[in-house]
Amino acid sequence: MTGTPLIDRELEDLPPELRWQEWLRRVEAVLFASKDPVEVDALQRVVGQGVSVEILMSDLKAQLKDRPYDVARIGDGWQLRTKASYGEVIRVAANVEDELSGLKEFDVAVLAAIAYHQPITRDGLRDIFGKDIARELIGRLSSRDLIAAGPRSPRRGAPYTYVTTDLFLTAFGLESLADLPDREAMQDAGILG
Amino acid sequence: MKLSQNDPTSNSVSIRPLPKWVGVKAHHTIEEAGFFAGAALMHLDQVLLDAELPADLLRDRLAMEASLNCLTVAGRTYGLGDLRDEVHFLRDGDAPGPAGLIAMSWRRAVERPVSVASLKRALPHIETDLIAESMDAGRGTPLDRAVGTLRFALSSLPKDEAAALILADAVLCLSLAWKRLVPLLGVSLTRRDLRGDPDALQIACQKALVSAVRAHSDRAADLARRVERLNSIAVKLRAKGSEEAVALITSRDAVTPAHLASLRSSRSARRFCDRLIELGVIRELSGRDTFRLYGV
Repeated sequence: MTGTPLIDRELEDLPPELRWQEWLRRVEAVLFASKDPVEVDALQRVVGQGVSVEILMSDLKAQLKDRPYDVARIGDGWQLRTKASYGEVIRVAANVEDELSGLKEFDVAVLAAIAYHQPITRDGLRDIFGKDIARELIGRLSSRDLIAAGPRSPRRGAPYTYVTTDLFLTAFGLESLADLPDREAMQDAGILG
Repeated sequence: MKLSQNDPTSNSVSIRPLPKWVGVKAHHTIEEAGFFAGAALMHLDQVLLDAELPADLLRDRLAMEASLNCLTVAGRTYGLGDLRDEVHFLRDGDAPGPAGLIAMSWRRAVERPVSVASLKRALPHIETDLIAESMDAGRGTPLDRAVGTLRFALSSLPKDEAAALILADAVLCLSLAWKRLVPLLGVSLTRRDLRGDPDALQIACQKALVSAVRAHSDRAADLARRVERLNSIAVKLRAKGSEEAVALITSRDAVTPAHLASLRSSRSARRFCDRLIELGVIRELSGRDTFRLYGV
């Protein structure tokens, strides 16, 4: 059988309170089942027409207050994530690899430079760090989907620029690039040029 | 073909500047400033109706300007040249950077008639309901409605000033029965304006509106003259596909030779553009010898 099964989105039979509860359970179930962030439009498809996913999410957040996991907005979508304070516990139990494991300290420094200066070429990174940035390093970051190719730079050879991805935001627990530590403060502290 | 020395400031274009008496002064009350804001909108309404106005080109240029302003509001220093490179050299499959994304939002917002759907296309990261809700947040005069939208959007999306400004300008234009968005608040409100209390924000918007209309009217007249000159030359160009190429050049902020597909090869597109530069009817915008960007 093909096609999307028809579900009852509106739940007219239920009293309003139970209806809202059921919608909350549905979006939580969808988020639970998904490894990646789920886009708002996808969540919208399992709840009533015109129901605000935004409000559902803030209710869900409130309900999860005492749980070890939480719902987080990532780029265009939402994701269930264990709370940061349980990170150590999970790593001990499951020996999980996250997006950042296996990266060297300098890899992360380059990643941070890309985040602040994107779109930026390898030449641009060399100017920041005062040394060549190995292709392998860029490869490590892109194979983990932390960076992607941006527009080509208008100079000899038209080199690719690099930009950060939504997964980069997830890995660092950011909602958007606006959540990066304030540039001005970092400049004042001498961390950023 | 040698051009007669065409005076770019010649007055064959009928678009008039905003009269000098329209201006908001520091001592003006909200009511007084409202009077001048209304007068400015009336003036721009006439400018937009002018048959000589290259409306697509004007909107695209203003979209770039609004993007630069939004970047400044967000605390990023960016030049028009850098933004142009990021926007015009982006190809299918490339991921735009944060500045490119803001420009993409503004350009998409001005490109189609304003509706919830067209704004969703411009702001894909924002929930459709939230777009609809913010557009309905204000009451009163067109500017009051836009300010209502701006305040609602800023409180729901505190870190996305660009989205809030796009939505506010969209509501302003819809309330004035303009089919398509003209960036007004988006080009002139500052970070400090956006942080102000409701009364301060209201008067900042009135002021921003008047200064935007003044700048836009001058810009519209200038672009209309430039396009008129280009079109007067273009009829004499024989290259195959030149008509489509000129249409593109007169509707976009900038083009690369690769954009001018009607001329069939990048090389012939480059030759075509260089010829138009020689004739003094278009400009090279990047200042480079390679990866050039052409525009009116």
